[in-house]
Amino acid sequence: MKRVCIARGVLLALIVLALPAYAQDGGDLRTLLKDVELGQSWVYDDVDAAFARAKATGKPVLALFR
Amino acid sequence: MLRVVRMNGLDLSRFQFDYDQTWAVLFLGPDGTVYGRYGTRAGGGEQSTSHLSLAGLKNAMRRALAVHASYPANRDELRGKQPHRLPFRYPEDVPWLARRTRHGDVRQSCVHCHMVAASLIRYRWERGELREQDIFVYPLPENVGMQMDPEDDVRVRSVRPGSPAHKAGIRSGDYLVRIAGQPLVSQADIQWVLHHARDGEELEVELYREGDLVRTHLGHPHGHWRRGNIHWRASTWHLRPGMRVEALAEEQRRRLRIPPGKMALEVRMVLRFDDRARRAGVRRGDVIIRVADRDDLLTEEDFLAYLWLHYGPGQQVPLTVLRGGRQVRAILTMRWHPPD
Repeated sequence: MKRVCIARGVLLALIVLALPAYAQDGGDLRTLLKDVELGQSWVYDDVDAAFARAKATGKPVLALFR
Repeated sequence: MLRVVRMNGLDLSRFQFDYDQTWAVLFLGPDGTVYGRYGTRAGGGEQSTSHLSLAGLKNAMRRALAVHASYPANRDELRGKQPHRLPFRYPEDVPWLARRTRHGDVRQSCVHCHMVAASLIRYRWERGELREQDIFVYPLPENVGMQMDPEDDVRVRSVRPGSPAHKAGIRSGDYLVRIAGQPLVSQADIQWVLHHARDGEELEVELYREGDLVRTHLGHPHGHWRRGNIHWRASTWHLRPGMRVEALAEEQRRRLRIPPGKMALEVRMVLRFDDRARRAGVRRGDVIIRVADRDDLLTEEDFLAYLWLHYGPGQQVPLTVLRGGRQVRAILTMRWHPPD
């Protein structure tokens, strides 16, 4: 049991050390979210810009919250 | 297309949806009018995506475009879809969220959607205004007896016998068009109507059946029809008072001689970072058999709803637990966690 606990502790420490440093330094939010693929059609976190574009094009807004 | 990854600075009088969703869409016109919503979750594991599909999203988008094409002529029927008044307009208006947003680190200062939902619960609870519908939010169509097809959210896949949907004459294969006068884009729109419906209110339903328009009325069961699985909702994790409980299995109930229909909730976990249960003297493995004078709280949902709907901040709740064959008394003090 003690060996298992030590092994788990070592594994956890390795995982923590492997985390990118920028996760700790308040870097830009976009770089923290690896699953974001920013294509030209997406407005990222800017409600005013999204609605400005909608008004200019006459098209509705699809607002994705994730 | 707008991607929102944090709620900081978001006007909640414009953007209202099931804030516990891990993935949610609002369809809006250029003037901010809500056309519809997409995004439904029934639980954890497989149930976290069981009500979602690309085909369902595509169909929802198509219906949203149809609503847009008819706007503003259809403005009146969209009124019910628009956001309702909330106690606060921006997350930063909530003191405990405002403190979070002043943190220097990006991650730490991020306001998540579920934090807004939790704040609504806390705000109302601290004012003695908490209602059942504040805990059991956005009831699934299943709560009124309809299971919808996730490939086309407004198509009825099955109807539970004896349910309100069954009594309304709704059938498998029907395409729901409107409920309470609101055009439906997805299941999330059905949930929006149910979330805001008054108990006992009859809702007008329009549907297509084999090309014919049919009108009927959907009634609600009285009592706790809104209740369902809230384990997955991050906003309700605060409601677990330092412990997780689970209904005891039949075999264990028999062994402890607990009659059917009587409360038997086993404490499966006493949380390390939340000392509410520990301070009450509750231990892992205890079986809660009574809360005050109630011994009919059969599920964790019943237990949590009873605590938060009947006890306010600082009030003490007497618990009776079985431990080692003996009845032991514990006193739980109600407070929000984490404390400010």
